[in-house]
Amino acid sequence: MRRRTRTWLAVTSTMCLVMAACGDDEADAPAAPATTAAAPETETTAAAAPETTTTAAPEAPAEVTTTVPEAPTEVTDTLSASDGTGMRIAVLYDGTLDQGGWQGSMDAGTQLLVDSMPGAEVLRVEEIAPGQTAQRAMTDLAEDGYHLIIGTSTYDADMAIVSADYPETAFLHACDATVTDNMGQYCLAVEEARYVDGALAAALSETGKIGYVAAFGISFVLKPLNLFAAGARSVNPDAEVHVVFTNDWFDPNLELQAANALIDLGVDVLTYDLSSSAVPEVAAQRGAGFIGYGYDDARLQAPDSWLGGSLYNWGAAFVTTAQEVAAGTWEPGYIYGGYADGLLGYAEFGASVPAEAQDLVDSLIADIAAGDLDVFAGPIVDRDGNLVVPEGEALEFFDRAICCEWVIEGVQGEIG
Amino acid sequence: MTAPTVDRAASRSGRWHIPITVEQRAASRFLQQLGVNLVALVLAFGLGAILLLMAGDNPLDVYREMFDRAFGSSRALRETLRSTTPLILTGLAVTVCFRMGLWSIGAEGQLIAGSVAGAAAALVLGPSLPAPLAVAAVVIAAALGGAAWATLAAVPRALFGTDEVVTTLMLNFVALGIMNYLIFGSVSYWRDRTNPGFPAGKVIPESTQLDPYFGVFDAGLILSLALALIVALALRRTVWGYQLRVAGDSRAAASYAGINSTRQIISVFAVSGALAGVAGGTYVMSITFALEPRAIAVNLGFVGIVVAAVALLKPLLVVPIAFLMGALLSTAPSLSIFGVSPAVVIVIQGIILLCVAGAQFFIRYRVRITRVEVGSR
Repeated sequence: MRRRTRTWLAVTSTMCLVMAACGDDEADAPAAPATTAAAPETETTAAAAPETTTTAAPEAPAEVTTTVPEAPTEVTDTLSASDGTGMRIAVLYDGTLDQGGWQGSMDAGTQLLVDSMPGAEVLRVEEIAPGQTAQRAMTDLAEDGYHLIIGTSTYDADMAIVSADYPETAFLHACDATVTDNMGQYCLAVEEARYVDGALAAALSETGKIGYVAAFGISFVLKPLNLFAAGARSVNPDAEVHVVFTNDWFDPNLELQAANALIDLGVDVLTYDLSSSAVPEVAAQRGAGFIGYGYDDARLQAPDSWLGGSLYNWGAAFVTTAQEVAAGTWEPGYIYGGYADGLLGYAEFGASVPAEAQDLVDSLIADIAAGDLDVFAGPIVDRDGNLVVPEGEALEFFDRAICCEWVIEGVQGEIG
Repeated sequence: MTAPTVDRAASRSGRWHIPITVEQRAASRFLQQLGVNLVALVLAFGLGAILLLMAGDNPLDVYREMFDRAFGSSRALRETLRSTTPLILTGLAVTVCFRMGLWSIGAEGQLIAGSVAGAAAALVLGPSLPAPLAVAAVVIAAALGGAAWATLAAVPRALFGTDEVVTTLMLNFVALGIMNYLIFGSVSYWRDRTNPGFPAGKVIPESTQLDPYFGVFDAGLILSLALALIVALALRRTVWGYQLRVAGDSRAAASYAGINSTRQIISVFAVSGALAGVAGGTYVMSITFALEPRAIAVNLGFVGIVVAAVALLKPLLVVPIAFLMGALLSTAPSLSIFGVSPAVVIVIQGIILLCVAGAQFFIRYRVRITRVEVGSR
């Protein structure tokens, strides 16, 4: 909470500066609410302070009602930026809401949106596959006058197509490429989350072998894998991370087989980057420990095997954007942040985790949040022996976002 | 009028006499067919209504929403028609094979092969050709891609009698694997290397993106309607179609008549594959605008089997059935938005399909309660 207040203050002051600089560009908007944060051109540079994107304080100082110029209906909607009165928001999911992992962490974000903006109508739409289904759903929602449409899965191409037809509607997409006049992206620094997770895994593994069940051998998935391994080897330089790819985002049966195969290999701590509860199940059955993935639903499913895990706080990005859209100040960009920005948190530790390991995690998070530890700092060597980040350097924002085509040393297993 | 009884043996078995006889109708009149189908639809929506009531939704509201979202505006109609096009084409592809008694379930894989070939043609030729020629090039490439993929199953079937059900089914997975590899597993020509996010296909040039006429339908639909007509005429009026139907009725009769079965099997497979391939090509040009594996592999080939079966393997009947099916499938997300649980939507789709498919049985057969005197055999 203390951190939130601090960021809120930072945002407020930033906002005042921005408003002062903007002058009376937005004559229509009476006193833009101080609760919203502008995200100045974050898509091109990370040089801006970590506070560029931030948790917007749900407890707004005063209810400020603004007229939204891009209201799609003829009657001018009156939207409240503080509690979202009159605002309609839709969140699209690829699977069903009862899945854990990525999907579960996204829904926790939606819930924060519901709680923070009690006046807004927030609709969850399940089982929306990319492609024609997604295009159809987004078209319907835009036609129905939804002000903000949030995609939580791989809808980038579809959203780019539909958003071009509905310039008055705000579109927000998870961790992809397209940024236009009415479509933005939000993502969080999974590299920070996975680095901490990897460190905990290595601290608790007795065999030094950690299992990782992943979806696809693509850069999007290799980045968290690489940083997980980097975190593990920061604790135990000989740690090995054994990876198995299922080539699907959701295939519990294959995940089950993969997790069992990894344990047969001598792995005693497991993790995953998928939505099903297959890996926690196997860990519980076979007496191994496991680290969660962005969400702590698995802590309740397999409490004896649960060790810990970073929490993805997507809700921070949702609330910030929704409030900006309501206020009419939204500038589509690339929301990106980690522990320092309230976009990442940490779950409760498992009962078996000793105090020193807990302290290790806490101090790593404190260092990362304070800017003392950059998980992408060199030297980073890939598993073919190439120096991908030299000593004394660190990856810049764009390279962080699109990282990684390489696989870091310490990762074992076929990529693909 | 009374045709031979089909299922008497079953009703006689055991001690219990079941007084029901299933008879083939000698001929069913158009009005009769229409009536049976209407009853089936009413029954389907009635069953669906019960389900919706149980789930706590108001069926009338849901059905009105469904109708509005499928036909209620030009935008809605456009979405329905965009879903109709690929289903007409895969329905025709299945029809051609099934009419000859070739149980190909490979339309899915052939559609994928068509998308890959069509997307390649669009990317290579699109920038340099005027729009009509570029579109034609994509269609031809997609047809060739689909036909080539079908030939992989056709040749072993024609030469060695390999079971086409198994080969076509397996080739679907191979095609899917190749398409996934092109986008997710490699830096292929199809993949957009400039995209730093989730792996995506290169967007095809503007000249190959189909714009809807009057905001409602695009050239893909016109092409699919023309192909339905051509397939219907080819089956009815050409030697190729005649031989196909003869072979479908009796393989032995066909070989006595001197029909070269090897050539025939390969040509029928190739035509079927070409139709499914065109479905892939138009899908890329009208919906995905790129080779997008997760958007393309959505079971359009498998749904084509349902369309063909419900349409009684009649090419012209494929069109309205595909239209209904397209409306039914494309409104699923709209119903989810409306608040109906996705699981209920899937069950309602299933009920409607089951009733419509079941109705085809009652068009061909009639069920009669038989009066049999006790003790008589």
